[in-house]
Amino acid sequence: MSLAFSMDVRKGDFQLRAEGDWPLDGVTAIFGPSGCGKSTLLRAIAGLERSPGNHLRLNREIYQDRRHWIPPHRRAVGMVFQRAGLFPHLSVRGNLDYARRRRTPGRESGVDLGELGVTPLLSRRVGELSGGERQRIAMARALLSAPALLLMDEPLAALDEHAKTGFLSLLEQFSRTARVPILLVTHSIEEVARLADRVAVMHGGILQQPVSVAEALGHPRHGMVPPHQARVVLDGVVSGGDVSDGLVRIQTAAGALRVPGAAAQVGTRTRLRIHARDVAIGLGDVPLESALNHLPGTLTSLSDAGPGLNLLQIRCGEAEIPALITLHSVRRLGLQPGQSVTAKFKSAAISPTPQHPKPQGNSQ
Amino acid sequence: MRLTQDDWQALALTLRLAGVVTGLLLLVCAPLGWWLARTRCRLAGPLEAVLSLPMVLPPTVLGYYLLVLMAPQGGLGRLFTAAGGAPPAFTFTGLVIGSVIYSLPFVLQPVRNSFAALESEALEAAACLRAAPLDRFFTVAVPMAFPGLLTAAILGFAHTLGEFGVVLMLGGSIPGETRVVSIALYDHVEAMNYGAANSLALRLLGLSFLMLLAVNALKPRPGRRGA
Repeated sequence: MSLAFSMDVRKGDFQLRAEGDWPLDGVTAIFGPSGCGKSTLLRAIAGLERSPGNHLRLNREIYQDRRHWIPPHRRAVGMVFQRAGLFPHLSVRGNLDYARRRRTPGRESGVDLGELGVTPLLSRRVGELSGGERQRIAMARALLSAPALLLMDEPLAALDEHAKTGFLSLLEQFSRTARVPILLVTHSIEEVARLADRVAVMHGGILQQPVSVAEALGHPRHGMVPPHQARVVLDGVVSGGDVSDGLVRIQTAAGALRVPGAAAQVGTRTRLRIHARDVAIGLGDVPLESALNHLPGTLTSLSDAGPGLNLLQIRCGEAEIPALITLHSVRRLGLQPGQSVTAKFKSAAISPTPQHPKPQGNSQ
Repeated sequence: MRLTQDDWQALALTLRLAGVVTGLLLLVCAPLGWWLARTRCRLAGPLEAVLSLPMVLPPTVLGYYLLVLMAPQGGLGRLFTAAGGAPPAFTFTGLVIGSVIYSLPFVLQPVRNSFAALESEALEAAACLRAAPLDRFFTVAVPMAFPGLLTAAILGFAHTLGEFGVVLMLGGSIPGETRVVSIALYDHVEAMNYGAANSLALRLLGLSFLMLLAVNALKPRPGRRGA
């Protein structure tokens, strides 16, 4: 699966330049401030906007070049809009059937309507749905057309806080198991941290090459997070639990971590996020303390992170963990690149607790 | 207040005329309004202005030109003769053609506006769900714009019902062929037969009121359901 594109769009003051040949699997986020052209890129991929001179190829199918233009209804692309775009004259079931009936024959969607929390809504009218319910149905509808690529244009931006929380955890759960590659446009660091595998940052109308989400969120140089917002994202698998303590053990690329959470099934895939400002550095033997997670690693770099602060990168196993430390502590401990250190953090600072409540039918 | 046989005939003819004209107008205005609502073509503006002319033109002026056009020596008259028919002046066909042109802007505007007001995301979503343009038009645009289309149809019907100037110029007053209600009413008044005029006028008044009631019932009311 791959998406190759080269785009140069100018509209008045607005300019968008994007070029790439991206492998597609999992969730790729396109991150940037509002109005920077992210949506334009997505709409061009869907065929909803047409600028001369663009080139676009999905897998082996050319969607646009000098001689070709494939209209949107003949592209194997699904789209979820900021505002759901449901058909108000049809019921929820009618909306879903609309997609089913027009699916390319022989293609299976493999959609689990129950997992998306849509089943209890089937006989409802579109006018009776809440914002979160609309987005769930819009997503189910897009998936039912069995697209080779799912585009999501700020699917959470129009939701209120409560609905956002619910839909985000549904998306998070879905993205861990989704079989269809997703291109997600967002301006929220939180959404990238929870949903994306890779992220391409949009800067001044120019799209950067995608990097892994851990790389983008751990290193301010990618222009996505300022130092005090740096964090690590660790994908892991539940490897055991301690019911009496309410802790679960999660195996990650950085090592095994203990996290508070409901007893999740062993083998459940989950993602942990730890802020650099919650990571402390230890040297040598550690005296008695409350922080549960101690990961041995090597200090790879120190960089300036504003007045009185340094951002450190510590390689632990296969992962790199950023730590935001005062300059005072760096000097006191005499920290140098190449040094063996221990990255320590409280279990309570790890988000989230690895549990994914099933969305309820009547939730917002 | 009883209507004479002639008045009933005039009423039936009027309803038939309005029905035929409304049907034709919907067939013309639905695709035309859809195109006008979405096109970026520069000719759309001038075209809309030309089609809206009947709104501002005195009906007798329009009727006069149409009469010239439909007379045996006129362009349309010759066309009809060449096709083996009769020139449409002073016939029901002539009235239909005249009424379609006269009522067109009153249908086209609401049709165009209701298509233009459609939420673009629903149409774009349909495109991304593999619905071809014609499919999208019939399965998304028309049903979503339906209240607007129905309003347009009622306005076109009502407008044709009440037209006088064009009909007078084009059709005269041939019973069963071109003598519509408004002409019949005029004839009654001319003959100082106010009783007959009154009973016709009252019926038209009632009919117009009912149609306005229908248009109002179709208007989306705030708070009933958020679309």
